[in-house]
Formats: sequence, C-alpha cells, structure tokens
Amino acid sequence: MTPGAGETKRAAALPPGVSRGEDAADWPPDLRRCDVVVIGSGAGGMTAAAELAEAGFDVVVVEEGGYRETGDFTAEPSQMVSSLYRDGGATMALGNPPILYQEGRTVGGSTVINGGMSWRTPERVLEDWHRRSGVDRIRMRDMEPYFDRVERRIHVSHQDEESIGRDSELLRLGAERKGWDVIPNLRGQLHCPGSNNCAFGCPTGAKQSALVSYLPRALHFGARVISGLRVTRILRDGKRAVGIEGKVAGPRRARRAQKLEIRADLVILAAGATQSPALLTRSGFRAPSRQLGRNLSLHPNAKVVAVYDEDVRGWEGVHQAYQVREFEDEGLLFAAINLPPGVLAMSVPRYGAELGELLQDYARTLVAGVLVEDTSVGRLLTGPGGWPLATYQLGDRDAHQIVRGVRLLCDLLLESGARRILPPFEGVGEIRDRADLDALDPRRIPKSAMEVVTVHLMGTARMGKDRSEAVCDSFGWVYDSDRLMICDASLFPSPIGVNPAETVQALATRNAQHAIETWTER
Amino acid sequence: MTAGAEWPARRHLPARIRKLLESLARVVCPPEAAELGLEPGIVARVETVLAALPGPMRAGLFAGLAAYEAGALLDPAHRGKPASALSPAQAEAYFQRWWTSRLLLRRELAKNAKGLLCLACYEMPEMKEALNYTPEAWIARAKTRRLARYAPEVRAHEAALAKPDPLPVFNSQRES
Repeated sequence: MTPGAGETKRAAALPPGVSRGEDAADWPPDLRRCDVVVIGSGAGGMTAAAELAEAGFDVVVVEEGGYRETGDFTAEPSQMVSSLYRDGGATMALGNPPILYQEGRTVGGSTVINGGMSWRTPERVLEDWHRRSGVDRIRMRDMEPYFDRVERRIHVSHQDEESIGRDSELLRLGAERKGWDVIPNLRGQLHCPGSNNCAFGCPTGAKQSALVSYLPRALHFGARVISGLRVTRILRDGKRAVGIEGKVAGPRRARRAQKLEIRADLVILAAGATQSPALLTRSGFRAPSRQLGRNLSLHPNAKVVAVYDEDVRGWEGVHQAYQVREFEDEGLLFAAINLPPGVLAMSVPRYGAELGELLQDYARTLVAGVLVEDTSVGRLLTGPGGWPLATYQLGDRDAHQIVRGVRLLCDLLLESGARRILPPFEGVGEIRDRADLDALDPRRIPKSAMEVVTVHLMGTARMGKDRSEAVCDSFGWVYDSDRLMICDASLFPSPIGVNPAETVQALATRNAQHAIETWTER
Repeated sequence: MTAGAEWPARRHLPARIRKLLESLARVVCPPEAAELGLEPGIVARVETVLAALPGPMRAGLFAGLAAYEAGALLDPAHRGKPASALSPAQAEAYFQRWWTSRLLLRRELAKNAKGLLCLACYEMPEMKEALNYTPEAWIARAKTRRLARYAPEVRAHEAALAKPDPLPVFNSQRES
C-alpha cells in the first residue's frame, strides 16, 4: 500500500508485477526503460496497457494512487473516500453553482469507485463526432468490434433478478405507473449480489472494475504497474515525448526529494479530463488550436431524497438496476442510487435534531438522481504549481433541465408511494403531493440554490480532424507532438449523455490498435 | 487485504480545533450522539478526512474555524467566550447565525463543518446500530451467496482474462 492520507499501515503483499513508487530503490533496472509508459490506471489507461502488453510491448503503467484490493473495500465512506478518491472527494468546479466532482485515485482509477454502468456511446453522438468533428473510424459500425471486446472483458450484462433491491423496484414501479420508458441497466459485473457499495470499492469483486479485469490481464501479458508515483511532467525531446518524470506520492516532507524518471518510446496519457490537460500544460505541450483545457463537459446531476412508508433498505440490492430513459432525447436520465447514512447526512441541508428526525427513516429512504447531458462548457485552467483548476458556469438551459428533471423525478417517486421528498434546491420545501411540484419552477430557483455534483468529466483535449479546432487527432495522437497519445474522456468532442466508462474503454482499445498498427512508422 | 479496518490514531489537529469541532458536533449532530458521548470518536474520523483534503482547502477550513471560534468573542451576549465555550443554547444560536448568514463564506463554512461532522457521526457503530443499518453483515452474506451459486462461472471468467485474444491489426495510416 502506498502511504497517503487516511492510511494506517502498509500492505502485506502486492501482486507480481505491481511495485510501489516508494520502493524505487529496489526496482529492477528495466523498470526505468520500456516501450510504452501509460499514465493512469483507470478505464483508459489499463485498457490500453492490456492491449499493448498482449501485442508484445513492454508496458509500464504509472498510477498516483495506492494499490487496494477487493478485501480492503468496506462500507466506511470516510475511510474509503480518503484512500480511493482524489483530494478526499472534495474537488470542485468553480462557478455558479460550484459543482463538486469526484475522481478515483487508486490502481484501477475511477472504475474502482463508479457504479459499473456500461453503455455504448449513443449512435447519434458517434455520428455527430464524425460529422461535426471529422473524427475518422468512429461511426457505430467502426466502433462495434471495440464495444464487443470491452463488454466481453468486463462482462457487461443485466443484473440477476434476485439481487435487485427495493429502491430500484420502486423507481421502476413509478416509471411504469407513469407509462414511462424504463430499462434494465447494463453494468460491467459478474453476478453482482448487490451490496450497493460501488462508490467505495466493490467488496465482493463482482463489479468488473479495471482492478479485477484489465489489471490482471495486463499483468498476465507482462505489463508492470507502479503505484504511488505522481507524474510531474512528460519528458520531451523537442516535440517528441520520451518518458515521464514522477515524484513518489505520500507523506510530503519525507518524499519531497524523491524524483524518478522512466524513459519510453511511446507515452500514453490517461489521467482523466482534469489531470491530462494539466499535465500536458505543465510539460510545455501547447495545442495549436488553443483548445487544450477547454470544452469541459460534466453531466451535472442532482439528487432527491424520498421517504416511504415501507422498508427500502437501499444497501440491500445492486446499484442502479434500472434507468428511466423516457426523457433521453432531452438529455435526462433517472436512476435510484444509494447513499450511506453518513453521506446522506452530509448532503442534506439539515442539522441537529431535524437531521436526526430525517435519518430515523433511513431504512425507508430512497435516493434517486437526475443526470443531465449538458450544453454548457467549462474550462480547465492550470493553477499554481501546475494543479488543475476547473471552472464551469451552468448555463440557463442546463439549469432549466436540472429543475425539470427533478420535478419529473419527484412526480415519479410520488407515483411509487413516496410520502415526502427533499429536492436538492436550497429554499424549496419538501414535496409531499403533486400540488407541491409547482414549487419546482425553473424560473424561481436560482442556480446558486442548486446542489449539483458530478462524476463524469469530459472533453478537455478533444479529438477531431482539424488541428485548428482539436487537441488530438482521430486516434488520440496529440497534435504538434510526437509519440504522445491520449486515452481518456478528455478526448470526447462532446458529452455523451450516458455513463462514459465503456466509451473510454472502447476508444482506448481503438487507439491502442492504432498505436500497434503504426508502431513501425514511428 | 492491504489496509486496516481499525481507525487510525492520527493526532495532528491543533487542540483548539479539536475542542471546537467537539463543541460543534454537539450542535450539528443529532442529540443522540452527545448522549452517547461520541464526540471524540466523531472528531477522530473527521481528522482522517481532513488529512486527505488538499492543503489549501484544509488551510482554508482551519482559517474558517478559527474565525468561527474567535467571532463568538465579539458578541457581548457571550461575555467574552469563544465558540467552543458557549452554553448549548448559545452555541446553537451562534451556529444558526452562520448557517443562515448572508455572507457566502460563513454559510459555506457552516455547511462544510456540518457535513464533515455528520458524515463521521453516522459512521459511528452506535449510530448505525440505532438506524438498523447493517451493511457489513449484508455484504458478508451477499459475498458468500455469490460464490456458493456462481463460483464456476466466476472462475471461468477469471481464467478467460488470461486467454490470448490479440487485437486484429489492419493497415492504417496516421492521419496527422
């Protein structure tokens, strides 16, 4: 285990092929020179690493976070968030309203803390990327083999009926009573028994995060992984990327001086939509289009808390067994999620006895969320010390859609028997019947009153055919550089309206294939 | 398993901040928490979360807490007492003023402090028990049930992860 905040003792053992940054003195010499160095071990990085390792390349994956395994994951959010999330889960996109966003910082990246939802990129989005951004080989017929391959690897499937919890059933019931389209969710999981602990690491190993799918595969084919090493910059020789420089992550004073270099013929950047552009900037790469860090999309989402007269016990069942797709064309998705009592207590605007009164009904509480496909765009700045700083102003249309989505969701939950609902808007009272829905009027709820969060950040190094408008070409190669490729959600030319993990994995597979095909040309 | 389940005995919070957080816990957490004497345990958990925050954010929070503590001195009704030394009724009224303040920074401080303390509060075993929230037992049962029913399929999938399935390679040209 890599030391860091919230960690108390060292790992007993690591799997063969995984090393810690802090143990650099004991590394074999060949760990400092490889064919491909991959920055980031999440959906994009680990997928690309496994494909390239299988193709015979000598691959080293560098991850800032520590290595945790299934047995480490518990239902203790504060401990898990401290050790699995970047900055303790407290990262914020500045704007009105400020938007809390969360990213994984652990071997396996955000796949360790996401819900495992795995959807192909909608065809309309791929067509748009092809038509508007000129992205090559991106239409559904081109992408299908990559989706198939990823889905096979992470076992994308519907939930076993026996593991669907009451929270998801109530959501489905409400949608059906409204006559709305509700579909079984697709998740990368293998007989998930439903502990609804996805956001804090899957304690059963059923969710097929990169940690239990692409990591073992990459290691099997000879890739090496270094945990606890923060990449400070990409090494360059002119425009050519030639490796990375990193610092051991951990207790600051003790590790400050420990810098390490790894040289490689190809650098793959898969650190996510906030870290990747910041790292490119820190390393002196400048996109000719000046679009690096721009076009940040983040699928803002808002949550409502509904209390029923019956037991819901949201922790007993799979995460998001269904999605309500009735308003998909408007860019709205609804799903039941589960928040542990601590996280719920943290997020509702109550305290003291009032909070205690609400939480008394915890076992009868359902938390549901609205995801909005946004049209606003933010920007990723690189702040002092090269740290990323996200800014995002929620546009009027998106703010309107958040309120509309919450209103529709409240209507659905009332239909399924909710007796009181707390909307995520400061100053708006509880919803107890349909007459109260009138309070959810987009014209009367200011953006500053909205409680908005996200886990989907995209688009800050977008791909496209035109180097004057994009940062990367159709296969993730960074314009105006050599031997430098991106394989994460920063590539997206626009938001996709569904959970992005499978899109990232499919693009990483496709980009890795392109790297293999063009290797000899480099 | 690579991490311990027990809570770390990290003690890097300044004593005055710890004292203030314990007094705030008595205001923002449900009354049962104080009745059960959970404040020190709550603050110990908050310490762990604080340690994971970025330095500037932690420094900002500490500065805000210091302002909260000292701000109570300015109210003549408090007779020169800082926030951590106020009576329960005074502490409640003082927090309420920050919670509903017109100043965004005051409101944010109150919201964040409340959030951290309530997160920690509802992770205390005593509070979870009171809610009949028993995720650990459920997880253990779910895990056992999965392996009892599906072990061959789980093993087959794990074995498939090690089977060769190389990407087909076509001729293509880099476009840039």
